[in-house]
Amino acid sequence: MNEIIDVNTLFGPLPYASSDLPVEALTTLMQQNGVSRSLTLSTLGMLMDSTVGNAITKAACNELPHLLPVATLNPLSFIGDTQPITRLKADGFVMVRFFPDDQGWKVNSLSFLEIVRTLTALQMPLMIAASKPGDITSLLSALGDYPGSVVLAEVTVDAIAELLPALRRCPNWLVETSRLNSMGTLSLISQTVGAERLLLGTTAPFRPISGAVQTVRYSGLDESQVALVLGGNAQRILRLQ
Amino acid sequence: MAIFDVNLNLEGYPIPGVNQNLAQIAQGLQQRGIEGGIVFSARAEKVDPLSGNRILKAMLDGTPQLYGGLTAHTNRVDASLQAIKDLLGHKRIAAIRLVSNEPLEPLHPLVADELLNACRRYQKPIFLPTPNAACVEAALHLAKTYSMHKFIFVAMGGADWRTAIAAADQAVNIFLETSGPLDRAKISPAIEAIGSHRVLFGSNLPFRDPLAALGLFQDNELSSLDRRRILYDNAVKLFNLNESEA
Repeated sequence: MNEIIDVNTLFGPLPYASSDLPVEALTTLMQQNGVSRSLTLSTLGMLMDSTVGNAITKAACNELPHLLPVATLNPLSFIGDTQPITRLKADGFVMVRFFPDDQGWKVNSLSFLEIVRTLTALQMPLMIAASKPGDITSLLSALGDYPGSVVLAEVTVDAIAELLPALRRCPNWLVETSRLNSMGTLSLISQTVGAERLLLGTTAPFRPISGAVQTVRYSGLDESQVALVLGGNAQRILRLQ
Repeated sequence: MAIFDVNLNLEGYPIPGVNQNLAQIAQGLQQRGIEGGIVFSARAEKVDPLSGNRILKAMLDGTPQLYGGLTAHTNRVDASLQAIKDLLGHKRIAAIRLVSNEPLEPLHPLVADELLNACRRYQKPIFLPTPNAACVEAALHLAKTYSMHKFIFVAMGGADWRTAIAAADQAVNIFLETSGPLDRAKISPAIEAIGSHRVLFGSNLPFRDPLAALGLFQDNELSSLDRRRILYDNAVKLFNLNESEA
């Protein structure tokens, strides 16, 4: 059986969730649904302090090797020290993630562009939320030339008309599926730019894993395409064994 | 396990070939192992209540597993009243929903009154949009005022689902429909507070694939009785589905 990799999970307290999201809840859900590895991050890094959050993420992933650490960076607290950013890859982080809406900044801000410039040398995969119409278009100018993989997160069917031309224009861009659970979206994306551009994402344990996996399985993709979305594409872009 | 989805949408979706007619919706449900559902017309909501509801009703003949939900618009009262008079008594129209120009704003009770009064003789369950706490409060007021009707709170308060559960705890004629955020935490407290007999499975197809919505019940520890009630039995009872098939 092909490996299932979830590229969008998190753990820790989350105000819009009704309860804390313990890492144990994530690992239990993964086990129940046959997910062998998940990319994850501490909500503390997303909501408050990326330095502390990244340390918590790293500690959790050191203990549980089936969790792969994702670093968060907040341009609002970037005051020019690029050294911690340049160390992220060597510290074992497999991806860097940005939350413009949750943190309240714009993708055309100079601090974000400066962070991207620093990351360009590392070519680390990036993931960034693009949940509203217009977000993907704005990202084209900020990340259109980024040399590594760019994963769009939290995209919904409302942005499908923006998403498709952006994926056509930027061959290193992909999209994760946590909010692409509307009918027909995955098959349309696959037909337009290929199933190689889709990654399973769930936001577990806040949201369920089972429904997200089933949505991919019943999306109309053939077996080999489903295998790519559920894990093969993540293995490729993250160079996982 | 049999599944009935009480919240399906006809038209109004950007991807073609998914919900432009009831045959497409029925096929999508069948592929996912879902027995049937209640369909509402986006045309009736966004353009014209009279023609939208009539088109929906006409399509029902070819899809016995699907039932219609009438849409009444608080800003198009005359056309909505005509649709209620013409269509709500029909066996295959299982329910009615009230909508307004502003989906995130509470329904104004004075306008809703006229439509709710017109519904009295039909005694069919009434869907009210409750995407947030303010809408829940307005809907609770209507549920208490019209205690002879049964009300379904669509999306059970959205991210404010605790408010919806508290409202349902105050009035026994309120049912909670589970579309809205896929927050795993919301189902168990709802069952604990009001019982599984007043919770209904809805997906908001095609905006959410029912398989994604079903994840709320698969990744939660529920008894098989609660699961069966929410996914099927409650809908059969509330909408008199056995009777309307006869």
